[in-house]
Amino acid sequence: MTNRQSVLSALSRHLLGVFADADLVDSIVEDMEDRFALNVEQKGCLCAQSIWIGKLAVVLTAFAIKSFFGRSIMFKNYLKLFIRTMKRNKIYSFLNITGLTIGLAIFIIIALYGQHELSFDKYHVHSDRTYRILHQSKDERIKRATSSYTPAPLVPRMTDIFPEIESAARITCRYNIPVVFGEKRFFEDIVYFVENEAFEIFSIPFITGDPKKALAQPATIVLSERMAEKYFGDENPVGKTLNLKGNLSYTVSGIIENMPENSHLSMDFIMPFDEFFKFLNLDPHSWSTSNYYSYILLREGIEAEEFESKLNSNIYKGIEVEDRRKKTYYLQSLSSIHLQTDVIHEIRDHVDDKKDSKYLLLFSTSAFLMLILACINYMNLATARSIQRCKEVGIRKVVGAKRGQLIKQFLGESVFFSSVSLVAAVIVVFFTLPVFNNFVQRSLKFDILENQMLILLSISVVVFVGLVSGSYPALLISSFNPCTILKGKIGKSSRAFSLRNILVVVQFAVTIVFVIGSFVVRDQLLFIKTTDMGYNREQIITLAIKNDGEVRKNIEAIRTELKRNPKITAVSASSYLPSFNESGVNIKVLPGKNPGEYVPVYGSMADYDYIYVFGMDIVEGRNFSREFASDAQGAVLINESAAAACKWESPIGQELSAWGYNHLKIVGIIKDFHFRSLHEPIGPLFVILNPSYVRYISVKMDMSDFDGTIAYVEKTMKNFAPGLPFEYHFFNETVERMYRAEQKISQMYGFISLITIIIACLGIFGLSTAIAEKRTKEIGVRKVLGASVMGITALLWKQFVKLVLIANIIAWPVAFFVMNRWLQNFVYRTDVKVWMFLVSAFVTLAVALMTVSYQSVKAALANPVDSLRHE
Amino acid sequence: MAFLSRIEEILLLSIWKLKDEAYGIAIRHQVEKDTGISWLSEAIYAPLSRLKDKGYVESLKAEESTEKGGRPRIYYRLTPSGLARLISVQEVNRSLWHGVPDLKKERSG
Repeated sequence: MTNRQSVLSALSRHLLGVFADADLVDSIVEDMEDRFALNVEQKGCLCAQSIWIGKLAVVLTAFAIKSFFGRSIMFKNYLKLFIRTMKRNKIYSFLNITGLTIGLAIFIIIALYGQHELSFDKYHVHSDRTYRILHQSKDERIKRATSSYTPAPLVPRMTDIFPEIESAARITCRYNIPVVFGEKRFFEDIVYFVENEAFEIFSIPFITGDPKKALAQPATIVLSERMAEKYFGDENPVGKTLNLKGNLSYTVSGIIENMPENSHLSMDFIMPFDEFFKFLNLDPHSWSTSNYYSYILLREGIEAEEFESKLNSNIYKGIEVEDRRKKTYYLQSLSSIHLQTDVIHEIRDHVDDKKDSKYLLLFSTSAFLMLILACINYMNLATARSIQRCKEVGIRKVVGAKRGQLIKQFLGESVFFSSVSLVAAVIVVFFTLPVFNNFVQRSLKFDILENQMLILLSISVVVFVGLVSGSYPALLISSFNPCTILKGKIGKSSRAFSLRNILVVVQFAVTIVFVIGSFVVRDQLLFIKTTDMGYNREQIITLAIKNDGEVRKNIEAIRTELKRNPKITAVSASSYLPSFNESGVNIKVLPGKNPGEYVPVYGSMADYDYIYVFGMDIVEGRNFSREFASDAQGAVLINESAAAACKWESPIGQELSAWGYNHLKIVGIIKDFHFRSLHEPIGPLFVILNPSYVRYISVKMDMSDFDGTIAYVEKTMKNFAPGLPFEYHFFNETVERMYRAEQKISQMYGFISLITIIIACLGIFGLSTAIAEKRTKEIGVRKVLGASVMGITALLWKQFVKLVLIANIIAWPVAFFVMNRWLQNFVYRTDVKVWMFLVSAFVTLAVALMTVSYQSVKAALANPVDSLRHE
Repeated sequence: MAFLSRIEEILLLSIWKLKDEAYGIAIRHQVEKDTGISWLSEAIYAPLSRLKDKGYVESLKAEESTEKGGRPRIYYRLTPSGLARLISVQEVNRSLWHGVPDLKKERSG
């Protein structure tokens, strides 16, 4: 609570410091603290906080007005006039406030989002001293991206030789594990194996159980609160036994609070680290397999950079490690894990989260741009309307207003406008935040009381927006010469007019860039959807099996049973689906012309029907075949890239060894297909024949009686593997899910273009109103002299057509450049096409003319008698 | 010379009454005690800052921090011109009330 108070004090000090002198601020804050202490006792903390903020707002306003306008006599006059002009120009006020509200609402949402993204993992008490170890291979030939997987012996070795480490822990995880308790059976996305020290490093509060002992016994498991509820409901879970992977039992030894959303680890199932070796038969002392995340907590005062170099120079001293296994290690600070996107082998759950953080830049630039657009809108409208208000200014000047006072008056108005918009924006944010949350898969909350940072930020933005957007009109209006104004000669000031044109051009240029951007992103998405991946993705469902022992044993029987259904045409078992292969962790051996040479490749295992189910083409040689008995002895297919990489003259019949298989005979070459995303070039790949290595079962089927067929598949699977939860996916959806980020960016661009168009339209609508009004007399005269309605409308249109066309010409190269850069992300991509420019020009022009025509036609239809009486 | 507003007058008086003990909260309490109503912060501090601008009141920092361990407390005191102003107010008030008997007694009596 004292913490709350100090935050509030600091906030008040900052804000009041703008207007009042330091001594006074001290007095006020002391007074507020005093009242706060009293209120906390009487009304509770939350209430006291709201009172404080309310009071602060009032005091602030009082001081702001005082310092801005001096004594309040003139202020009252300004306020009265301001309200009158606002009432008289309802459309104008509405346009202004709407524009600013949209800009500010988007700004607040993006600020919330940014705040959330930047807060990742900062809630851990020791987050400033906690690091994760990354590595890169030292061997230049097999160097790949920086990886977060480290070898198992690294942490024990480090704690042995470096006294700088206060605590260190290894964490690793397995995906898609079937978990069973009684009747409840689920595939759990991810389970963790964690060393006890992790609870010292990370702040993970236990609800029941002792963090020091929870994982000390083998075969224990710690659950998160939500998982305890999912499996045990109201029962006390401690001491109960969960069954994992069919045959391993774990006793619940503790419950932790659900980990917050802004954490890169989201642990629901935590088991002792050593249990991992029961899941996978790996050597815990081997430096050659990297499967583990290593976290260290450095002692206070230790410099990370110094420690990093010390780590690299000492880690392999005195122990035997093969040279090609040696690595360069890096420290990655805990709080930067979330935002650093170029590290491979991240925890899979977190990868999607990370992809989203790539939007941060796009989001914030567009939020900023929209705010600018809204400001431009205000400037435009205010300048356009300045003609109407110049009489007021003239009179004021004549009776002795100084220029400074006038500037203050108009700046005050714009700040007031932006403040009103802020209130409206806050309301808008409350209603739209759930939609945005759904979009970015976060649960952001807008808590006005708790989020001091945001209050400060919003207030400063409002003042900034008010001052920036008010500055030009204020300076312009106050510069008018009272003589010319009162003679009625103003309005021909061409200077104001040209700036207004420039602003409209800028507004439309930004809009056009976004419109073209959304076309390009859409086109690329379409390209992804329609491009030939080299495999067939329709009419296939896939079952994730996770190497279940029962399924492995019975795979042949399952296949026969499934194929009995006439709707099912083929069944294949494989280690990877053709859409995504992530095996390329290790370097496989493909001895070609130079035996012993390493070629980095991706590998997978599959059965005889793999190629048939997914419809890949064989360009040379043949598919695996049951007719060739020799295939069962060891056969392999490679893709064209692999054939090229190995530089054989005739690859068919050559032998290679990999993954512990020797003498694998190459029987055929598969046409290159995209076994990873279109962001990457197609790499070398081999497919080993191994009918019983099953991680996925893919079923090619006729979709006509889908429900019946899938029920049959489920029944069959339940027969052979009763312990396995049944889950299936459509393969085409799996493929499309890989481009989720791009789909989001596409939606994002669509939305941004829409909003920018709306803002720009608000702007030119107001502008056209002002222009039509200014030219009323001219139009009257023209009509009297016989101009047609169409002619006059066209006259008013002409000006805007010119502006929009200029905006197009400015925006095109920018859009071309920016979108080309974005497309560079993809190795396989579409182009920026000419039609996109033409269509966006057409769209903006059409929208602009439609907005303008209401006013133009109205002006053209007006009775010239009225028009000429005008003024 | 322009009239002081009523709150400015009350503030000057409170500061005078409090002598060496005139700091923010104390002034507010004094005002509340004398007038019998509770005051909003901005109703106290905005006029106080105006008095400072006019040069009737000056602020000085205490040498030691408050017992709460915060910043040194800010005390206010009248400047000579502030005192002169207060005296002139007193004179005006005295002449305004001159010859007016105790109204409460009048009404009840």
